[in-house]
Amino acid sequence: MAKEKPDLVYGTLDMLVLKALQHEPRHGLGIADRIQQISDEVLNVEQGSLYPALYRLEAEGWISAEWGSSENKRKARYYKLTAAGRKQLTAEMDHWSRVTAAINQVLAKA
Amino acid sequence: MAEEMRLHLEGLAERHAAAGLSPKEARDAALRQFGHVEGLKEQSRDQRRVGWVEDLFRDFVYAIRSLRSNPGFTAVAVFTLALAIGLNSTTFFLIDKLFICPVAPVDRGHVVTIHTGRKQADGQRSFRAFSFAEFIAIAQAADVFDRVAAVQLSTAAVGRDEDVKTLLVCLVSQDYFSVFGAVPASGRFFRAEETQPNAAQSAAVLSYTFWQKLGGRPDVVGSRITINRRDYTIIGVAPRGFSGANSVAGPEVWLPLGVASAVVRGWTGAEDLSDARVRPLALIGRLLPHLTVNAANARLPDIDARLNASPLSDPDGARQLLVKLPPRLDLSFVWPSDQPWVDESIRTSLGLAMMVLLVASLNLANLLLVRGMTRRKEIAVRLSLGASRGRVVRQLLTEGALLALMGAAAGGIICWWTGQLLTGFFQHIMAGGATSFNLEIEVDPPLLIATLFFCLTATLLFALGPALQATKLDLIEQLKLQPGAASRAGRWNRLFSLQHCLVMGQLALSVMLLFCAGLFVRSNQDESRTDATYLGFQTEREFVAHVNYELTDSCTPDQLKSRQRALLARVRAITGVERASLSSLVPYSTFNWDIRLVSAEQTSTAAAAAHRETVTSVRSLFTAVTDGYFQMLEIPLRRGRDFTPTEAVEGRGRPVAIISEELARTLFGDVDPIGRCLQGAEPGEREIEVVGVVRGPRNDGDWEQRPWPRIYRPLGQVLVPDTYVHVKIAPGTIPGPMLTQLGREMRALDPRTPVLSLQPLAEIVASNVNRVARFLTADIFAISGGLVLILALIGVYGVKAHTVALRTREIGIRIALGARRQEVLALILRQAVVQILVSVAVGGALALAAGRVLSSVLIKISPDDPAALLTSTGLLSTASLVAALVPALRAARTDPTITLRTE
Repeated sequence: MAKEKPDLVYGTLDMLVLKALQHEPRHGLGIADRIQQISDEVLNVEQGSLYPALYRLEAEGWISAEWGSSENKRKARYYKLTAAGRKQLTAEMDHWSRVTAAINQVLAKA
Repeated sequence: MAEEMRLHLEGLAERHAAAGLSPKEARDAALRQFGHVEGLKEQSRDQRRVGWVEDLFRDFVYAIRSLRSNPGFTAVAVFTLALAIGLNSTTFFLIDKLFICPVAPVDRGHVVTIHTGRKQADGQRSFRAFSFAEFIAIAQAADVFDRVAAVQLSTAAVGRDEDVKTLLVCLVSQDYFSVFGAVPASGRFFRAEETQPNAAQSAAVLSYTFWQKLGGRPDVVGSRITINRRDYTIIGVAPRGFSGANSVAGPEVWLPLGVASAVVRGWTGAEDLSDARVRPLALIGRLLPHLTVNAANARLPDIDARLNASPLSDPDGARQLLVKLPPRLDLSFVWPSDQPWVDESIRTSLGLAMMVLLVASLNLANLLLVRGMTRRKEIAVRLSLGASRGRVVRQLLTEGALLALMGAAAGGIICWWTGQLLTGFFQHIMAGGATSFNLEIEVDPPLLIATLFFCLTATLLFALGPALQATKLDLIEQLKLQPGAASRAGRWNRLFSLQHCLVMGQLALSVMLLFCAGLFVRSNQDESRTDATYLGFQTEREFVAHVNYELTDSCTPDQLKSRQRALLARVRAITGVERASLSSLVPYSTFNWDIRLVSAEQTSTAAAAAHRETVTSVRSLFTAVTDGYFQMLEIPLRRGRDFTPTEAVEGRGRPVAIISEELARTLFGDVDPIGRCLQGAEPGEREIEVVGVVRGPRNDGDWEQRPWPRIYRPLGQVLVPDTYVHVKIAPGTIPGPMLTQLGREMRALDPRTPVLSLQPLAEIVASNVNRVARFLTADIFAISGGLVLILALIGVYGVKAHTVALRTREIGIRIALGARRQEVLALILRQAVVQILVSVAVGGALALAAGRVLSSVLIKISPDDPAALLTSTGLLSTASLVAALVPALRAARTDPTITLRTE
């Protein structure tokens, strides 16, 4: 599958990460897999670029992290959405839909 | 975080391996998928909020490493800071303690001395001490004073048998200690019933240092001490460092006024304070809170009116009260002391210290500038690796801050050490004296912190400039650049680059400072002189023994005279004694005896015309001596004759006196005083005939140009039980055994009269309190001057070494192309010489200007003093030249092959 232009994706990376963590805690590799999965392989981000986003989100207090062990008995750092994070996710999603609606409207008019 | 990423990569690699790739290919694919690991790590780190604390710590560690790898630079910078901070702190501390800090907490009211003055015919005001009744009346003036205390200074023999010493004691009223807000270190202070006239309650308060000298036992309160052969109970100990208003020295023992009659003997026997005509007291008090000295003086005329109308009024005429801040260096304060030199000295010392700090700052600025330039390449690399500009600047500033901290720590140590040195030195000098030395020179934390703060700010400011400049680089250019090629075109540009301007500024300032310091040292230099020409009397081979006949059982005046006569004869008979004489006081001692004198003619004319207040009285120093005194001390007799043995020892004949030239001039004008009469200013005094005029020897109070007027009377004609035996030993005699014999003979003659002390005259002169205080001031200037010189040298050497190092490549090329070593040397030195000449010229001009400003404070030195100017400019030029020569020589000796190969 072709990679879509990455710029737009990086701008919304925070929101995608929060969404990926909505239902259960995951580790870094797991988050990358999840995003790929639910976008039907369209969004294929550079895996390492998750980490600055993850640390930023952690610093803001929207996700929390702790060490645990993964499926194949390997050590991994698991991230979890916090209550503030959930609120932030909802806010960002609202913002996103408003912005895209406006852009679509502009594009629809000739 | 690194581990997390590693695990992520491993997970990816595993998947690829599971898909069939070889382990190496799997790893490569994982890395490609992941992205640039290091850059991501950096980005991630930046995201973390807690970053700045970690950064600071890391900056700190890096700064330590970088400073350690540059020991030369670090040592010089820290040394500069340490000297500046340490010695300036000591200077500030000394000035504060000696002159500025208030005698007692000011919020509860100013402590002032109270004086009573009367205008004389010549426009001058004359002052006198107070009687006890006057003291009580003034103490009741509740609209001006919160409390008033009375003080009388005296000497007394403290101790018993062999341990007897003459010490300064202070008789005080019960409010004395509370005027200063002092709290006893042990025991209590005096109560009202002990300080009433003739109360005769034997209580004593010791000074803290005296208590320590006696062993510092905790049970000292309640024990007994012998003073003038009477036992006193010690009721308390004064707090540490307390010496009344004096900054430096004070009495060892305080006694209540009630025992004045036992301790103080006037001319005619015991003193009775309840007599209204007896006036020995000096007053010191505390104003009401929030009342300034001027406001207090404005309220005094009311009190004057009351006093002048009451029975306490003075028959000599109306008097006015005056209050002033207490003198810090005088022990006695009957006369208000005008010490204008004190204010000027304070200002100049502070100015000097500020300047030293400035010079040190310039030095530091230069060092940091140089360092910034050396590290250009390194900074360029860091910037290209991705460090933000702010980050690099922060790191440079951290380095500067670390330097400042290290400098401050070292400075604190220097401050402490200097303090110990000075305290020990002065305590040693004063140990033989009769006063307690109370100036404790210690590290004052607020002062240290203030200086640290200043240096920290200065360092950061100076580090900021180079930091900003260094980070504002064109990266490619910098990476390519050889350090030497950084010099821009044009000789003038190179000569007056920022760095060189800083150094020249520093040199110019240093010249000015050295000059000022030199002026002051020379001005105060005289104070340390002990040669006969300066003092006006000879101290070589002179020794003084002290006996006090009051301490034996009471004797009649005739018995006293015969004992003194016998003593003199006995001492003169000892082999090895060239001359001997008795006197009532030692010249240049801390203690003085002054009386007011008037011309007899003037008095009788004025009395006849009932104009007593127009009579001019002259305050004079009084000494009673025997014949041969002037010859022994080599005090020149200008006119008339010396006392005859009949007058001097037996006391027969008309009352006569020998006066100093100054007294002659003041009392009698240009008329020959021989044959004229004078008398004491108090009514009812006898007329005394003047038979000789001497050139008055110097006294310690001679700050101003005019020496004190002096009067000498024959010992036999006045009653002075307190006797000093002056002995001049023959040349070639060893003092030790002869003095032992002297002591033995004196004790054999009169076993009941203890020999209180026996020391060289030179030692007595050296332990004079005022002289010691002046020493301290002169020391401050000398220290500052030396400091300035060292700093200037460091600055010049540092800059020169660096600029020469920058040109190493150029020099290597020149030598390789055939230049001779001397030519290279000349090339480098030419620049240095021009810079030094310019700086010294500017500095010289500044120095002369500064001299003008200081001219009001200088004594006997002209503000254009050529010696000081020559020394300062010469010293600085030579030193700078040498400092520039060393790196230049080193450069000229470089092997071009080595320099051309290295970068």
